Amino acid sequence: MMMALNGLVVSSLFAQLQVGDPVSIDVTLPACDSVAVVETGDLPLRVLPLTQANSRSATRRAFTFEVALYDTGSYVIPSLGVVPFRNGIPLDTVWSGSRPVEINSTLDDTTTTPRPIKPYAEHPLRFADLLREYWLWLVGVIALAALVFAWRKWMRRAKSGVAIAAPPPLPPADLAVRELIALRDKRYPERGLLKEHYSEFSEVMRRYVEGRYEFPALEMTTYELATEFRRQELPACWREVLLPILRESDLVKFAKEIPTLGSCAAILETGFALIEQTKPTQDTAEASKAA
Amino acid sequence: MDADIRELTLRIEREAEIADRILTEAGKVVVGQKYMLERLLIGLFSNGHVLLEGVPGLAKTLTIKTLAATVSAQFQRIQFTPDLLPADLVGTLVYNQKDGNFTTKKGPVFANFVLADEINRAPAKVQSALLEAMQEQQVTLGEKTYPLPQPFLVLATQNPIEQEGTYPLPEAQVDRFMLKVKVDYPRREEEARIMRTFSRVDQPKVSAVATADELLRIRAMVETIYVDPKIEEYVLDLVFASRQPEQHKLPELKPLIQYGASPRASIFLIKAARAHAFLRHRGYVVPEDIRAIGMDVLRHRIGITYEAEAEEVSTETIVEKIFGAVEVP
Repeated sequence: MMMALNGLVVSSLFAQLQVGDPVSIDVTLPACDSVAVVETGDLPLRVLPLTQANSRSATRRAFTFEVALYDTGSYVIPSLGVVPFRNGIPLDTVWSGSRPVEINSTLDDTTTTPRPIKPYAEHPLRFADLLREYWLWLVGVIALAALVFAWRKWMRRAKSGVAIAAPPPLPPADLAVRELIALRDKRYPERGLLKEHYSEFSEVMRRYVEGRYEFPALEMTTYELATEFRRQELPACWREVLLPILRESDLVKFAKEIPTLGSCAAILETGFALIEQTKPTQDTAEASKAA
Repeated sequence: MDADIRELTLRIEREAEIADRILTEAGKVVVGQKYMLERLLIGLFSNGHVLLEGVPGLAKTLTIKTLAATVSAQFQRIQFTPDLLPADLVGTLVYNQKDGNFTTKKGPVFANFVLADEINRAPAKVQSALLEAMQEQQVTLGEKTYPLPQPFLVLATQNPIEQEGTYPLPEAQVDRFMLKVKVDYPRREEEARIMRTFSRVDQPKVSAVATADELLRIRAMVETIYVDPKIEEYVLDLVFASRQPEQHKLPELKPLIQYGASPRASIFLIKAARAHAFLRHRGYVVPEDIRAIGMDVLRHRIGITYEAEAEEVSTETIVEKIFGAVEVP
């Protein structure tokens, strides 16, 4: 929409401009050969080359301006004068009135509501696209899963096979008797291996105590065993019979004590007797099972 | 028993009387804390330095001072502070204006017993100077190297609380202490005795009951105490269990241990076990000796992971588990 203003027609949007907006001003003049623009004051418009002109006989001319201010705010466009020339003689100058304008920023106001610099890109996630992209991986994962499944199944089968084949564990007393018999059959003392004889005897008895009373006797020193016997209030035979043998055994093992062949045989007999004396009877075994 | 071991045991029974004298004399002033006193004697007899850790007021300093007083030897106490310099410890060269030469001024480290009180309050360079002297048993001032007097024993204390403004000893330097003893509160009846003893005006005093030469003689004897190969194997099992727990029926410790005990641990386990056997009047080491000193030798030589810290698993717990899993010979 155009409006006439003292002979000048100015765009109605003139009042709400943004930086860089082009502005057209149509000028209605008497018939003339040429025109000159008279600028007054600081015009916030840059005069662009004449973009449209009528023939010499025409009376309307169009000038294009561009907002040349890059600071937003309120401005006043001063009067703009156009001098028509006919045969080289200037005619009366046509003046526009001054006019307030509002220059707005070209950027949006981001102080109130934040928004991304760029618009969100739309990427619809579709299974078909994924499949096309990663089908090789998918095949690999399925193959790996199948392998793991097969391996686990095989392991379970192997384990169950072992469990069936394993014999039931011997009661501690039976095991200890077997081990003492085996130790006797090794005939260590006769071969001069006294230390080995005492070491194995000590180990067998500790293992029996561990299995019989369920405390880690194998990882205990003689002193700690003595303390544990007292703490658990075990039969006196352990303190009175086994502890002296273990102490003697410590001397043989760690202090180069040389026992006689007789004492080597005697500790074996004492071991058999101790196991016989302390092994659980049927009543105590049932009681402990019930517990 | 082997004749040599029997003879050694007899000699030890005679010489151990000196240790008993020291313990009795120190007991006049130090109430309770028998464990700490024994550990200090183990350090004394096996030429290993001792680090005591405990909250303030547990008689750490008093015990060390008392022990030093029972032996007629030079004693120096150094209070470690943030502004302490290495020269304040080892000594320095002083310019003599009269003759224009430099004279050597030896520091307090030149003593038989050095009490490094609150060792973690001094910066790293001072700690390094002391720990180097501990390791090398000598100090270099200028261009000359001076051997430290023998016996030379460093007894250090540190406080586990009030970590603000302290310089914790690096692992490599803590490793030089043979034993790290954690001092605990006394029992109720012991505290009652402490209260009565130290609230009197006339406080008990100790006198020297042993000489430096006697200590050197005991040290030489301790070194001859018999250690059976089975005991050596046991020590190696313990140390290797701290390095490769999964191979010693302790897979659950694997993620908790950052680094295991160093070879120094094996050396010190044997040395300390010998001294412990000496205190028990024996000429040979038994597994009990290893068990008795194991915790104090190993607790500062095993590094724990962040996972262990998060689960509040201490090195003491780890050492206990190792001792509980490794078979006694």
